[in-house]
Amino acid sequence: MRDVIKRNPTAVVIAVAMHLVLIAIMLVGVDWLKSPERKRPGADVVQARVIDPERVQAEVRKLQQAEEAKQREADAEAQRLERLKAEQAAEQRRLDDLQKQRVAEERRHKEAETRRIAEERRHKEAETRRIAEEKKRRESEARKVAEEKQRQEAEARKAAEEKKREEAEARKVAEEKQRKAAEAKRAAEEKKRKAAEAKRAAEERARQARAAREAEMRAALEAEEDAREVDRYRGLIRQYIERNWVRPAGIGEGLSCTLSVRLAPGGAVLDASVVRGSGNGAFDRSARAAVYKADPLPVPSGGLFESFRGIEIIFAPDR
Amino acid sequence: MENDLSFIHLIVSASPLVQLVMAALLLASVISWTMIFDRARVLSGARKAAERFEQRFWSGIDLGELYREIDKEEGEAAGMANIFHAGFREFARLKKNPEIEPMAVVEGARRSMKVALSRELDELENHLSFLATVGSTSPYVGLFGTVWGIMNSFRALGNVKQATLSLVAPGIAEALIATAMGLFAAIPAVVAYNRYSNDLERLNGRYEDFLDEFTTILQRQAHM
Repeated sequence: MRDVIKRNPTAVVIAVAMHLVLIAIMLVGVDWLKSPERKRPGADVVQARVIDPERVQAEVRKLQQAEEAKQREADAEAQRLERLKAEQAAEQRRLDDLQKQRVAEERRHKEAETRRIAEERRHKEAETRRIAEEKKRRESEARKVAEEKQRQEAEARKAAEEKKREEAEARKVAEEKQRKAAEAKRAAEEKKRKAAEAKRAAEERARQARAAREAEMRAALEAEEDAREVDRYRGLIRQYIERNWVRPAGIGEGLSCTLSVRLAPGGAVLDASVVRGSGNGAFDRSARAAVYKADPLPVPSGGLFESFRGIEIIFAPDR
Repeated sequence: MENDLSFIHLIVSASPLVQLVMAALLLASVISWTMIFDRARVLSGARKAAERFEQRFWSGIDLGELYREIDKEEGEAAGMANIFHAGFREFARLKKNPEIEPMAVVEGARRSMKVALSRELDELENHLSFLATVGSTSPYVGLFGTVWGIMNSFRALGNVKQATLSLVAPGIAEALIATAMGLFAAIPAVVAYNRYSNDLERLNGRYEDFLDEFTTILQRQAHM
């Protein structure tokens, strides 16, 4: 549609004009729908009467006379009319003059009115111009104020930014200080911590040394104890063997021999032999028999038994 | 009483929907008349241009000359001149290349003429469908307004005890105006549509005839 309007505006104009004309015809031609007024046909009724001729004659004469009288009257009337017409003409002239005067008056009046309107319009235009100027002035003032305000705002903004920047700097400095303080504190703590550590290490060393010493002492003590225990068992073993020894006949007193005994855990005798004899065979044999007889020999349990796996015992019953 | 039945009074006092329908129909009528005037000008212009061009074409003028002339009035050439211009340009372009066979040259020119032809036809039948639409739908639209108006006036009739003809008559009259307007918009549109599509068909036939004739000429030239 738009391209048609652009390309061919005449068509649009013609179409619109056609419709407008149609609407106008409709507006004016309201009469189409008005029901036509029906005219009532006038009924002319004829009235008739029968009359005789004499009376008609008389009537005719009378009518003639009346006619003459009427004629006369008409002449008079005509004269009167003529006079009247002359008067009317005079009147008409007077009226015309008056009319002319009135028209002139009116025209003058209209001209004055037109002038007044023109004056008024000029006045209004001047007023409008004044208002426009006023408005322009106000606008420019407003603009100036706005600019001033903008400038102030910009300044305020700048000041605020400056302040912010300074604050930021101050904050940075404060942070720096804080950071340094924190560092110093940390360093101090570190030092303290190191000192504490050193102390703790020293203490630890001292404690270890003491423990070592104690262990040594305890070991010595234990060794002593073990030795005592071993001695006790040796005595017990010797007693067992002596109790089970039967003196052979003819053997003098004061003989001794060294026996080597191998033992199993629990004291069972695995093997017994004479390492160094007394010089008397019977004695030596009796000593060996006594060992076998005394089986099982009393031995300590646990770690101490190790030294009893193979032992040498000096057998001297009379001592 | 006589005022109550004037057109203006009837239209003004109609219900808003009926008024809307009337306004739409009035608008459709204005637009379709605009189209009618516009198409009349365009189609007669195209017919005259075709006649002028045919005269020029068959006057024995050198085809290259004719092509150059049309080229000069670029933008104003329309219809057959445009078809000729497109075909000859393609022909000249293809002919420059000796490797292309004569048949292919003619075929290319014919194709480009077909394209120009369909473009021209498209330009000519622009907006014609609007006329068809107005012609077929505006009676229904008007009828819709009428039915609505009559419905309303009967509804009003149901509320009174004593129904008289003068109670319904104004309502029905105002409703019938809508139908009248619908027909008023539709009839010229249908007539114009039929007339213009016939014109268009004839123009199309003329263009195609020219296309065939020109193709024959080109074929002759291509084999020389």
